[in-house]
Amino acid sequence: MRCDVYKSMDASLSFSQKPLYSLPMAYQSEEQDIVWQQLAKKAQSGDSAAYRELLGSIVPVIRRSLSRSLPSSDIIDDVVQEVLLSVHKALHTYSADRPFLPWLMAITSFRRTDYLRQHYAARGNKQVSLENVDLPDYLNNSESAAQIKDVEKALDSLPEKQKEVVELLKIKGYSTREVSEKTGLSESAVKVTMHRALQKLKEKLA
Amino acid sequence: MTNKDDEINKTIHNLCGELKPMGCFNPNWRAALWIILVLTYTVAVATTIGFRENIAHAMNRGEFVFELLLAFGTGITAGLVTFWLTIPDCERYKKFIAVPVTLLAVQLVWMFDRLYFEGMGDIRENWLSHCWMNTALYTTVPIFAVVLLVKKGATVMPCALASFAVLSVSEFNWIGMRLVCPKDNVGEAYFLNFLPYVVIGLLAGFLAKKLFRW
Repeated sequence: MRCDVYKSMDASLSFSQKPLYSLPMAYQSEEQDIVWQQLAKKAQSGDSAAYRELLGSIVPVIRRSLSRSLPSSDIIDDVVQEVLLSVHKALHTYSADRPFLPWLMAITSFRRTDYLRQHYAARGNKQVSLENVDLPDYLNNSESAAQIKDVEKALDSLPEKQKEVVELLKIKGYSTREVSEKTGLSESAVKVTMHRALQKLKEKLA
Repeated sequence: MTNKDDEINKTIHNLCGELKPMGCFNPNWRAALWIILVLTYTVAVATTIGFRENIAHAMNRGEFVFELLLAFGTGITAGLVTFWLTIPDCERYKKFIAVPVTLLAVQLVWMFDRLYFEGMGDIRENWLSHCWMNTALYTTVPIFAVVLLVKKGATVMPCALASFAVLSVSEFNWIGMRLVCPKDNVGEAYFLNFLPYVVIGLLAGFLAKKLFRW
C-alpha cells in the first residue's frame, strides 16, 4: 500500500520535483519487510537460526526509531532489550500474511511509552547520576592545580589583615557583620579591606 | 563492540534458546468463541431464572425490539473490537471503533429521550438484592472468559481494550436482564441494569494497565 502511495506521488510530480528518497527507500523497505515476514514465519515454527537472524536485523531499526525520542544511548539500548523481550513474548500474535514493520513499530512505541511513563513518574529526568556529573578533577588536573597554587601564592602575599578578611568572607563564608565581630573592624572597614584585597589579587593574577 | 552490544547479543542468544514452535493467535477466532459462549450463557441463565411473563407481548413492541437489537449490535461490535485490540498491529482495526461507539451514543440518546418523555418510572424496593444478583450471575462467566482469552494476546491499548470488554459484557447482560425483568421503565432498565457498568468501566480503565500487562 505504501508502495502505491509512493507510485502515485511520483506520477503526480514533475521530474524536477521528484523526491530522491521515495522510490528506492520504499522498495527497499518492502523487500526487507518480506524477508522479515518469512523469517518470523519460520521463527513461529521453531527455527532458531531464522529467529536469530530476524532479531539481529531488527535491532538497528528499533534503535533508530528510539533514538528520535530517547536522550542517551544507554537508555536506548535498555529499551531495545525490552522491545526484543516483548517481540519474543508477542511473536505468536504476528500474522505472517501481514507486514512485519507495523507490528514491530507498535511494540517499539508501546515499550517506549512505558519507559517514558516510568521515567517521568520517578522524576528520573531530574536526577543526575553521580558517575555522570562533569566536575573538574582539581587534584589530578595539572592545569587546575597550578591555578590553585597561583591563587594561594597571591593570597600569601597580601598583608595579614587583608588575608584574614578574604579567608573569612570569601573562603569560610562568614557575613560582613560576623567578620566585623571577629576582626574588630567596623563593617564598612571590612568592605573596604575586602575591596582593596581583591584589587591586589587581581593585579597579581593578571 | 560495547558492553551494551554484548548484552543485546546475549539477550538474542537467550531468546533463541527459549524458542519453541507456537500456534498463531487469531483474534477473530477468539472473538467468535467468546461471542458464542456469551450468547449461549445468557440464554442459559435467562432460561434458568425464567423468562418474564409478558415476553410475548414485549416482543411485539417495536421499541423493545429496537432496544434489544441496538444492545445486540453494540455488544457484538464491542466484543469484536475488544479482541482486535489484543494484537500489537491493531492499527488497521481502529476505524471500526467508531461503530460500537456510535451505537452506544444512539443508545444513550434513546435513554435520555425516554427519560425526558417518560420519567424514571417505578423502581422496586428490593432492587439491590434482586436485580444486581441477576446481573452478577449474567456477567461473572463472560468477564472471566474475556480476561482469560485477552490475556493470551499482547495488547498495546489496554485501557481501550478494557473499556470495550466492559461495554460488550454489559450489553449482553442488559439483553439478558430484559429477557427476565418485566419492568422496562428507564429507572430499572437503564439506571439499575446499565449505569453500574459505566462506573465499573471507569474502574476497569484504571486497572487495565496492570491487568493486561505483558
